[in-house]
Amino acid sequence: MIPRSFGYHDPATLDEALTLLGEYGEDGKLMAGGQSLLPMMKFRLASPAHIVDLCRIPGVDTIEESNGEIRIGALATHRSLEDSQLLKSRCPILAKAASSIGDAQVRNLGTIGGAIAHADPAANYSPVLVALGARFVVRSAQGERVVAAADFYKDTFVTALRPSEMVTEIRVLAFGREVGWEHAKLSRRASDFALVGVAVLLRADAADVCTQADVVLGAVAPVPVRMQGVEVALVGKPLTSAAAAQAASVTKLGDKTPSDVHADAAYRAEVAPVCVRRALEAAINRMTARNK
Amino acid sequence: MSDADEGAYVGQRLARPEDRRFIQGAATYVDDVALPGMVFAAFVRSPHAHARIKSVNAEVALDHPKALHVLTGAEAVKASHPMPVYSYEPAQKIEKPAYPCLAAERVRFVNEPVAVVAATDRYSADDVAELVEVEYEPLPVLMDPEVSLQESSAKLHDNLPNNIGLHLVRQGGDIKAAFAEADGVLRRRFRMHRHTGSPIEPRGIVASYNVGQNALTVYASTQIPHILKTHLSEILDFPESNIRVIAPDLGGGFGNKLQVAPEYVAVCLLSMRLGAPVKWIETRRESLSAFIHARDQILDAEIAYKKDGTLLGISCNILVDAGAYLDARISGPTLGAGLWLTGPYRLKGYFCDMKETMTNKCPYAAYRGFGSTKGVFVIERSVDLIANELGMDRAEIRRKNLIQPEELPYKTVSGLVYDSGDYEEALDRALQAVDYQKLKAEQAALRKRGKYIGIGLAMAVEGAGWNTYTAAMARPYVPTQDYSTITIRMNLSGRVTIYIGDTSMGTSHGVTASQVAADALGVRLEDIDLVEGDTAVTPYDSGTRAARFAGVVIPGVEKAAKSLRSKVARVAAHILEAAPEDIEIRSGEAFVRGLRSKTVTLQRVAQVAFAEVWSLPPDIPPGMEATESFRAPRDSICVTWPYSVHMPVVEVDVETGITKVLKYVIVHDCGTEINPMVVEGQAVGGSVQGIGGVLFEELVYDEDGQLLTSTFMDYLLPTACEVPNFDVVHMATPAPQIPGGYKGMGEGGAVYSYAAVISAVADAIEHLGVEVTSTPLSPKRIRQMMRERAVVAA
Repeated sequence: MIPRSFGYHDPATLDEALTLLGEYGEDGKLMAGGQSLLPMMKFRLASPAHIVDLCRIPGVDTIEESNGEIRIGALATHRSLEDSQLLKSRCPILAKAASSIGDAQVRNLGTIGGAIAHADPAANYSPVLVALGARFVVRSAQGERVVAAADFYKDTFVTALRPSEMVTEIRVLAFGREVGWEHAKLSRRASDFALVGVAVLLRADAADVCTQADVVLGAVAPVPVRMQGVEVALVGKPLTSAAAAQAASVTKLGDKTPSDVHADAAYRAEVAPVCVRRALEAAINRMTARNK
Repeated sequence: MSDADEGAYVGQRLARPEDRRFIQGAATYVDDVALPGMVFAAFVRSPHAHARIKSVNAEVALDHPKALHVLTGAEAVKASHPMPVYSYEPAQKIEKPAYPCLAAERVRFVNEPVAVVAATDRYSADDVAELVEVEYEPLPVLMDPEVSLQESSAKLHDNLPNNIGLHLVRQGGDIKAAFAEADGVLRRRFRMHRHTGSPIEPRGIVASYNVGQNALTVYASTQIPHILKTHLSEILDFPESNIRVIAPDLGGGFGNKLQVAPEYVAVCLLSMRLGAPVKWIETRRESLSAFIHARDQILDAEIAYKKDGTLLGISCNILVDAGAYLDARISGPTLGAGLWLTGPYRLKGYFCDMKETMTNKCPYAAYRGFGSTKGVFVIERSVDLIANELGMDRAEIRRKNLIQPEELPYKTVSGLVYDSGDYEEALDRALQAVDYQKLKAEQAALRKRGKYIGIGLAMAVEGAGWNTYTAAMARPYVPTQDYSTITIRMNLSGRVTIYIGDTSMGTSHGVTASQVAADALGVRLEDIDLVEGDTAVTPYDSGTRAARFAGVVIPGVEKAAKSLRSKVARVAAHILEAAPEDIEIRSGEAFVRGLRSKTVTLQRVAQVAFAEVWSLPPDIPPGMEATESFRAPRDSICVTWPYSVHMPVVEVDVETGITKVLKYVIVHDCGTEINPMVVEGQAVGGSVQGIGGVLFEELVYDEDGQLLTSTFMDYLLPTACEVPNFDVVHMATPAPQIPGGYKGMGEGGAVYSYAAVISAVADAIEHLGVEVTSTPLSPKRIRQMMRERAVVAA
């Protein structure tokens, strides 16, 4: 619980931060809210020689919409996503996912960029961002590139980021009431990480026949997993709770399903279809509520 | 309140004066203590659950620029006696496995301390500790208490040939006759899992050895400042008169901090070597892995009953997973489990065999409930299962067996002597408060919709104050009794200070002691201060434990306050030229009864007593203080006998195993209530620990003895989100043997709640074909039960 010594830098601009990161490479570590990094340092599981603290960099925490795309600065806190009127009306699934991260103290400090870069398999955002087809703007001192969420997560705590790169922005397409959605976190306590996380986005035609389904699970594998079988089972079907139950029963976890003290792989395999079914039902209910 | 004439303070819901500092973040915990020249300690701990220490090399560590000293186990063993252990049972001879403050030859659990380092700052101390090189030779690991008992198993201590640390047998009544009369016998294995009190403030100490005075001052996070002082004197071979223990504000203790911590001894040794103050505040990981574990017991029980629901007798074999060493108080939680197996019921026969088995886990000791939690779990669950078997309602089978008011005092077959109350009335009030019949109808309706709620029901009589505790310390064992000694002093301004040798651990001593003393003295509540926890200024005391404050300490406070009152009256009588017996004291003023015009303030009275002694007659001594003792009744192991009925309602999501406590009714009786708000706080706080203990908290080891739940991310304490609103119904049957009628009640919440929450979960799912006999009732475990049921059904 006592970290090793480290160098501390608090650059005033993004360019300065990226220069420092480029300079220190593997020895440097960016810190945004510090909600994951600091505990790891205190346990001496991580001992970066240099911390580049992003807390003084202005302007990287905005949430804006332009041309149907929502752009979220990487330093936006979970709290600001949770409370964002824009997200609540144009991408409510992301506001909801933010609202059940940890507790209020964590949400006040933790940032979406930090959470994405940390890539905890049980984190709330990752299945939602994959379901949304989000794209991450990634910068280094050398330049900028855009990585799709589906290509970003590589393994437990491993991402497509190079040591000199940071996520600066998250881009998702806005949607309205035409989409049925749900994010659910099955957890022991309200503030815990997910045992199973589910993100569902459903689109339907005027007759409530499903035209597109995005169903992605978190916490059941090293990276977010799209439940293609469930999606296929839904598309072309009228969105009813019977259809939800039938599709959810197709939920299948892979052989990399993690086991821990709270949920072994057998438990996760058993409850994942339940979580999917309930999330589908909630999404369908939201969609039908739209018609009333 | 401006005038005590308007009514007594006792019985009122008064806010605690101590809240100000706690709520404003202005409390002083051990970590807030900073002494000039203070240095910092960190422990080198074993990564192995069982290993021989081949060598300890501190050379590299001492080269660290901030390193001051490294104390190894081998050196510590030479400089100190082993940690103490004693039995609560008079007849019991206890084998003492060597329990050094730092392991010298063998380590027996992961994170056992093997050396302690000192450095100039806390960060460097950890760096230095990391540099100490310890070579280990791993030994076979024992993680299962039943395996430990096998002859072929490795032995953890040379003087314990069977790995049995303690073996107690108790019996009462006629167990053979009870079983001979039975129509049925319920036989079950019950198991409560390992978890603990986990106070938010972990252990901490600042030890300061003064070379010039050869004196040791110890600021420690502890429930037992005086007893810690006595033990430190013995362990360190150091005069007790030269040790001062100061227990500052305590951020939770829950019985865990009855421990005489090996780490505290090591830090004292470090300070004595360096001649400098040394601070050690443990980390959460150390706290969860190397402080105190609790609860973990296997209880094989047989309960004899008649087909009309009459309970006849209980026989039980208890196996306690005591961990690697015997903590000083180890026999308490074991004996408590055995003693409380009889519940509030009339039984004819009792037999209990209790064994403490050594394993390669963190040592096991006291946690709120002190054993009774397990005994109550077993009897309450058994009564439910017998009711199910007989097709009886759970409330009705209890009603049939409850000890009735006219039978009190009642000696149970296990040897407890319940003092007073009306258990059936408490049951009725609980059923009414929860609206039992309506709730049962609601439950049935919900079941049809696939929603499962369970109505928990559990009741017990709590033993508050343990007479045996101080006895256990005496060598050789002598039967004894609990007592309190209180000093109370009025100063020149007329304000009053109470001196108590224990320490408040969220137990509201400030307000409750002041309420009682204010009434007894006739002063205003705001004119009273409380000083606790400093052995240099308070009388000897056995500490904050066993819910003894209301039943043992408060009568002492009342007695001392009355004694001081009579001194005040004598001086006031002299000033007012009246007889002492005609003096009345109210709201900080003394006056002649019936003559309110003849009044003198207590400030004036104090001035005369301290500063104008020449004006007093020679038979009135100067000053204004009194010291009095109260000796507890000793016809039973415990002093007072509060009781409670708990009825939580829990929803179980059978598809995921997730549980939610929807509501919670408590009916309780702790005699005369000093402050109902404090009583409710204790009842609710203890119940939250029951919710945590049954549904969330678990210390999980892997087969190699590594603890998998060593942070609060994995060891799940319930938060506000997991806790329902509580309805508390008060009854008040005064304790017949205690002046004032007070009964302690701090432990009970964490006793009844376990059985009640378990009962609620069982009630929600047992109709689906499972049986609940063990904890934790975690989602994983509930799903596992549902799966196993499916296999059996198939």
